[in-house]
Amino acid sequence: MGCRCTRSWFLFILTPALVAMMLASSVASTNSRAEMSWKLDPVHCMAVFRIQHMGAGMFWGKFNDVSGTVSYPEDGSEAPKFNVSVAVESVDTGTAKLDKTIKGPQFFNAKEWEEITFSSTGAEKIDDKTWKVKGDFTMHGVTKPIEALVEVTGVIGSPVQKKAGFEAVFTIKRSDFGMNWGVKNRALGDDVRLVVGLEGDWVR
Amino acid sequence: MCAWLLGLKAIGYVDMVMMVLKSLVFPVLAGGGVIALSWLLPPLKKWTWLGAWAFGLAISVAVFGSWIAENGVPRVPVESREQWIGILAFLAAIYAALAALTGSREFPVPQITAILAGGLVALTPLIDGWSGGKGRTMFADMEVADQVALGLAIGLGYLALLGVAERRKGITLPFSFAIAFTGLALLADDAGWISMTFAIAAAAGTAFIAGIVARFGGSPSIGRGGLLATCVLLTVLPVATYRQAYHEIPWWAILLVAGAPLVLLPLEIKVMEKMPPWSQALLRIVCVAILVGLGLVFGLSGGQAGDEMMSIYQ
Repeated sequence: MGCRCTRSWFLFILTPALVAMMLASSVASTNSRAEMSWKLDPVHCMAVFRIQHMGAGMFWGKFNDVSGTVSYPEDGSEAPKFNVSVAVESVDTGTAKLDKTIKGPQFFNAKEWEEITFSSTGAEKIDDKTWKVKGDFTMHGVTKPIEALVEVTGVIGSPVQKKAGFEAVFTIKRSDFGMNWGVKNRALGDDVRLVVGLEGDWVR
Repeated sequence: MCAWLLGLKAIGYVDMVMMVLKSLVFPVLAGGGVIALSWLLPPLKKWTWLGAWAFGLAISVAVFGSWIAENGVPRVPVESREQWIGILAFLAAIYAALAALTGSREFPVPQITAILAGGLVALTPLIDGWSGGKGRTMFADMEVADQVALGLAIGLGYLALLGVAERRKGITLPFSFAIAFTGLALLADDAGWISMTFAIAAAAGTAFIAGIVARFGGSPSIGRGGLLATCVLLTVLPVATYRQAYHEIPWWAILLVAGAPLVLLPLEIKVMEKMPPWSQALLRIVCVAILVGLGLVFGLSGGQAGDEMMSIYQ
């Protein structure tokens, strides 16, 4: 009898405690989903650009130093938010001399404008994996609103460590950002297509 | 013929030719026109101050015209530091007018002119700050000490060459400066800065025209105005190329090219006076050309053909 009484007391205390813990865990879990933040891993991020040369071939280059943060719940219930920064000095065309020319005053003018940035202002869901993200794109000292098609390429990991990947594709007119050289004489195209691959580590 | 022209238009060659016309040929013609009118037209030749201003006005017009054709009209405060080039090209014309007005006045007038011209350049960060800008130095990676050195180089260069400019009339100085500007244009091209290449080449072209006009126009002097504007441009343009562009041209190679006309100073020796005037002028110009050539040999990277995105002329 005494034993049953002890067990009852034990259950009486344990059950609400367990319920409370589950509720707390659930609330915490919901919060973390809504506010999941991902710090971009520069090693696995890259921005690749494409521009037409002399009205003929498509010329490709890349920026190796991409950093920033992304907010995105792993269940995809909310739109991703991006704050991405690209170091202009990290431009890489595979030819050192050309890199210096591109960084110079004729093009990116990297000594004056060191970063290209994108800060999202809103997004519209296209399908389960794709979002049309709107935001402010700053390059060469000029900020303009742009739209980028962003694919959530994957979210993976354990409760301890998670990674999320995104790929953004968009096109800008470089003349909109005051980078005019070669546009009028078509030495270099005006439209620049950018593909930005991002991978972020979950920030608890 | 029409189809051929349309074909050229389609691949952009007409546009490229237009760019060269606007950024180089028209500015050179404008500068050359100023020189030709001032030094050849009889009614204008009578005005001594105009003759002393013409060379400075001409190269300033050429550099300013070329710069705005490529980059638009610069505004104060500057958003981007290379806009100082357009502003200084404009100011160089005003400096030249003021220096020309000093006539042949001796101490302390030339010294005050040098201090004013160099001082204004040295005080650029303050001027930028006062005009609502960020109070930055004129070009990237420059400290205040570099800014002061830039102002000193302008002032001292003017004072050093003042005697030469007043003694050596005719082709010597225009051709010497033309060769120095040509060397700097080649270095700017090597640095991959097309606007700067055009601007300096416009100054070179105008100085060459001035040399030709001087040959047939009664050997006028470039005057104090011409010398001061040249000192400003021959100092500021290479420093801008060195500081703003990314190509690693050795600073001493740029200095050798930009400072080559200073060799005229030791060539003011009595031995030279015994030579016929034309051979004196030739020897002086050749000496400048040798120094410019040396600077180019050490300064030009040798290039990697085809790797320039703007290799539109190939």
